[in-house]
Amino acid sequence: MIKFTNVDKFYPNGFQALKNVNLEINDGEFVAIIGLSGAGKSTLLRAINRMHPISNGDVIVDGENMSKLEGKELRMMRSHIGMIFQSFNLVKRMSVFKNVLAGRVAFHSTFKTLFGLFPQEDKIIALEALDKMGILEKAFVRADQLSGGQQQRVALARALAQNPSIILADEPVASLDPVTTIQVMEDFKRINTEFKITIVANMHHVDLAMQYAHRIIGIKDGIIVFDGPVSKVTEQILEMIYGRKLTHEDILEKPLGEIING
Amino acid sequence: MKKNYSGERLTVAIQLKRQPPKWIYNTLLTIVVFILVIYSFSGTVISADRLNNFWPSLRVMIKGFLNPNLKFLFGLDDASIPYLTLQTLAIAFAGTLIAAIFALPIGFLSARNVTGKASKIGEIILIAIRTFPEIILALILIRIFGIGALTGTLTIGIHSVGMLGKLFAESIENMDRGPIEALDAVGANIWQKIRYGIFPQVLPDFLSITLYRFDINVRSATILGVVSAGGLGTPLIFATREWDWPTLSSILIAIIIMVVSVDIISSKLREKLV
Ligand SMILES: Nc1ncnc2c1ncn2[C@@H]1O[C@H](COP(=O)(O)OP(=O)(O)OP(=O)(O)O)[C@@H](O)[C@H]1O
Ligand SMILES: [Mg+2]
Repeated sequence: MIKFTNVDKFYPNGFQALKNVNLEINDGEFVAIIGLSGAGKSTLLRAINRMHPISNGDVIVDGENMSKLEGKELRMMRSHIGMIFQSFNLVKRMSVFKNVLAGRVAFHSTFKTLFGLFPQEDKIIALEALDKMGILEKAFVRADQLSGGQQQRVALARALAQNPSIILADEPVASLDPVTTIQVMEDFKRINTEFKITIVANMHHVDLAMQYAHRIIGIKDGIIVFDGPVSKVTEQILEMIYGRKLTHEDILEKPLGEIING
Repeated sequence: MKKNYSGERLTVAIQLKRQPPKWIYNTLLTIVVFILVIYSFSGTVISADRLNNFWPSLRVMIKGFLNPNLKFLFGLDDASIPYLTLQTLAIAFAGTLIAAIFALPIGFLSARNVTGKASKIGEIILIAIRTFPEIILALILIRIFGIGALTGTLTIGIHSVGMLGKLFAESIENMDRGPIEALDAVGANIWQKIRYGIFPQVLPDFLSITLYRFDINVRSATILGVVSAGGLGTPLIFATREWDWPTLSSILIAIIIMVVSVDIISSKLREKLV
């Protein structure tokens, strides 16, 4: 479970990116965070694994107060939270297999990992993760030989290899074409339902968010202005979150009427 | 329409005439260069005596070059070309290796995206090393370590750190931050981030840069021999002093073959690394 109580975030330059955020995300949920560019989506997501430390309030993840963790404790906590990025963040010159194995470094001593000594079971975990994502045959190919969609699947396999309870995704499909986008979103859905992993994803396209998530969190200027199930989202609410009418930029393919009516 | 101060329309023709006068500058420059040329030749005036000897000497030289000293060229003792060539290559190789090992930490230290403001320290160290002339370094080291291959190796080892460190730092600065962010999110510590996020990105560059420097150092090692720092350069300087054209010829043959083959092999290898 993820719980935010009265969370504020100030950046070093004094800019307040989160304003008194309160929310609770239960295990197994699929939550989409939507909002304009600069609204604070990435900041909110990164407050969960403390990639961005918060300024006030508490972020509790699986019973641990993230602000109180230091050094090794923090790294161990992060090792159970997967993270997916818009630009995949793979090492392009490294094999797919090694990229996925890198997801397991926090479980082993520095010494062993420096020499690349992963136990057999970790190698099996990594290959199984690739198998779950349907790209087992690409294991020993260099990451930059893969298409964008395949690279994002490798990133998902890296996250799965962590055996996580939560996967955070920051605009996971924003650099993919429409067809691949749907495939990767289906992967997220499968990971959520099959492996019961909580998914929190920042989404650029409103229609995708509504189609795949169970719950929508709308953020505007650092304030949570909407939080509720997809069924409660109306055109007025979307216009309130975005502060304007939706444009074709906000939608992948569906006409607006269809989004609202499901 | 734009008008100039006198009220007439500004045209290309007018601007052309207004070109700042260059002729004073050009004439002065020509005169200065001319004086310099005359002055520098005045010290090397070719005397009538030498001129008379020119054609016979040239004939001796060409004849010598066409008859390389084969015993020297193919000899198997440690004063012959095969041994000295290997020694030159070994000096270049060991020197480059030493330089690469030292350039690694200094390169990381000088990368702005790794150490922030502290990178200036590394940059200053590297500039200091780079600007110190290699030959002078060799002359100093000869006083400490004596004549021979060790001095050549250390000279190259120290001097090459300058270029290697700078290029390593550039490669680190150009790397993609994404994978490091991902490793952070996975709970990796600093060493694991370097090992799995930075190394695989920069290692091929590092190897390619080091190979390139080895290529340069093979030439350097030859030149350094001239100041007695070991390798092929040492007999080269003796042979020129003694007008021993056949020996000089066999040394040049060895140098050309060595430099060209190292060049070819290193560029082939570097192509594979990208
Ligand atoms: N390091 C920083 N220092 C100062 N301000 C920052 C910093 N990072 C982000 N901000 C500001 O905080 C606000 C929220 O940023 P955030 O990246 O969370 O937005 P976002 O909703 O993810 O936007 P996008 O859709 O463009 O990714 C923005 O106004 C941004 O300019
Ligand atoms: Mg963002």
